[in-house]
Amino acid sequence: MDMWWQGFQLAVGGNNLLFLLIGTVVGLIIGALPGLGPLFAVALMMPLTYGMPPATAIIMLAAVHAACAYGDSLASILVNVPGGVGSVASCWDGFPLAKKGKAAPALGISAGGSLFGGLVGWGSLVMISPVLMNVALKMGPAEYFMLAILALSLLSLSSQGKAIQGLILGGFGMLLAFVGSAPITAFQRMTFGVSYLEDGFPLVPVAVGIFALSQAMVLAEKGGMLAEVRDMVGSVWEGVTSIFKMPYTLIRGSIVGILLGIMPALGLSSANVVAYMTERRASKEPDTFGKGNPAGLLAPEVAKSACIVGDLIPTFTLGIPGSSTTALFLAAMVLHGIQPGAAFFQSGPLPYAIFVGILLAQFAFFILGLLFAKYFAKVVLVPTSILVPIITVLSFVGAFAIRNSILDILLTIVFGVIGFLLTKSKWPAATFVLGFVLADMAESNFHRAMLITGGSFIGLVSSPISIFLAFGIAALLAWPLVGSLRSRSRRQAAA
Amino acid sequence: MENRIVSKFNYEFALLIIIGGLAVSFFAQTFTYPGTIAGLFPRIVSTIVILMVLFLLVAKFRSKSAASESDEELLDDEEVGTWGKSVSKHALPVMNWKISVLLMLGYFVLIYLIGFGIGTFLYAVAIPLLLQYKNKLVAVVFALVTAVALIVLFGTLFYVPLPQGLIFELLFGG
Repeated sequence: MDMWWQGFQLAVGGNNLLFLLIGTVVGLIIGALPGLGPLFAVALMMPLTYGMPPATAIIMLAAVHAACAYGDSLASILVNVPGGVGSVASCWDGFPLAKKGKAAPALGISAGGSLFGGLVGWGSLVMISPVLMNVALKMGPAEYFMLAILALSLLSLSSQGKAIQGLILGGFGMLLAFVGSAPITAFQRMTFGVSYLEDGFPLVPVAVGIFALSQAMVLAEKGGMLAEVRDMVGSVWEGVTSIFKMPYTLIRGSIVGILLGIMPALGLSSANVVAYMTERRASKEPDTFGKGNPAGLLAPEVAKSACIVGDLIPTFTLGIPGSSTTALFLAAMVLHGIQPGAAFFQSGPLPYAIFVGILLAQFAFFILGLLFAKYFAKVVLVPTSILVPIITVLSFVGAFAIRNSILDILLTIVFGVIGFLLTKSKWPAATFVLGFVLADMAESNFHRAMLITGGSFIGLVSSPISIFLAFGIAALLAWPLVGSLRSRSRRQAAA
Repeated sequence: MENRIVSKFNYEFALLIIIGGLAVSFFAQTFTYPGTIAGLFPRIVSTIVILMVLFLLVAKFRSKSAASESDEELLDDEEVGTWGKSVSKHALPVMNWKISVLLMLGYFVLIYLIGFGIGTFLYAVAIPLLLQYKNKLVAVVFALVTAVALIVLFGTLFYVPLPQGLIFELLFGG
């Protein structure tokens, strides 16, 4: 309890509350912009945290993340364009509710559901993290290698129906991560004699280019304004209180969100859709889904917010990103000298301060969202001719600020072009970040395990944890094959 | 026949060529590394990437030769119906992505030569005007506010030393 109290004092001390508020406002504004989601928001804001104390930085990013995920729903409900990949399912019943003249109650359902999901996710983070920490303490290089391979094998599932493209991008991310010093031997790889590449590709300029700068190019192509905004009639608070009339929806959404949050690599993109499908299947009136059923909006909102916080569980405890956005969190933690895993939880009141900050962030976006949703929604009226230079300037400064290297700006432009090509090709860019982050974990732990076992591969599956992970990998790799065999036999039976 | 927007640039093909090309060069490099540790993982991963890229290229080639359409890209109805009052089905893209990239490179050169402040002001003025923002005075004020705000924010609050520019460094030292 003493640590919790110290953490609370640290979380509310200094400028932390101010930056929590700033992060929430920025997250809501970016979230309200269609197509720009938490990954863009965190990528854009991460370099700005460079000069901050560690607790402040992580609290602000958590606030941006949570607020943006909620803010995405504004675009989904009011404009029928997903604010981000985590809000796709919110369009399906949210927009029909708005068309029926119930935009304000719909926003209330979104706000209330997001708060509920966030609180449940937070509770899971606090309760599950110590348990997972004990497991992490028993893990060695072989287990971490298997865990990284498990996360990589989930890339195909997290690719939203484009499994091969997702795997290609994951592999591409890994190849770029191999540039620089090799593990163990420190041999310079794939630098082509360029001294700039000797330290490898820095994640922040790469991520800012792929997720933020690319969107500036996309918006410049579109021109005009992003969208029109529907008038809001009715009471937002009516929507908030209505969520308690759907207790089973709250429970189902929470479970889906937490489970998909804990699984590495699977995040927002899966949680909201799976929660919607689960809710529709469980409903006594499935035909009403897609036509403005409040449960069809509530389920993905709860799952999304539970997943946002749940993603942090493997990130903080195992150093494995729960999603592409938390991969950026990992980078931010390392930037601020915080090592995930046991070291993080043994660093005094810092983890407790971050937990308190994450909890406060849930209430912050709920209160601000409830009070000012209709004003945040009007951000879609800002012309793209103003948004484009803002995004570009922030991306350039963000890329430069990490290493004070002007060449990092050039790198950001190069990856901005790649991110633009990914957007136009509708490839799942998030899998690139996951491959990039997981590559070093997989490779360095593999070689360490080989050194320990004297080159024996059997050593990789000699402990109960690694055997369990190996079965998981085999099941995930076999899943698409089993699925296609089943659908083929169904087709043959029907023919 | 409606006057549709066409873009003959095949984004996915360009992506496959870039990723495939890099994977091939990485694969080739691994044979120059001493021992097995340095080259093992890059070789495995680049092999898998090359095979998957080839698979997709063959699939694209087959589907293209089977189809009768050319590779024109049209704006989605969804995008057009929901996005922006001023973008219509028949409008040209306001700023082609290649122009965007050239302008970003120009901004980069400006930062390198004359520093972040002036470079940002010039870029932030140019973009709204090129994107047909009607009120020129607002565009200039916006650019000024953006440049000043970012210098204050990063220089003062975040202690990030923004680039002064080569020309100013040569003239005034430092």
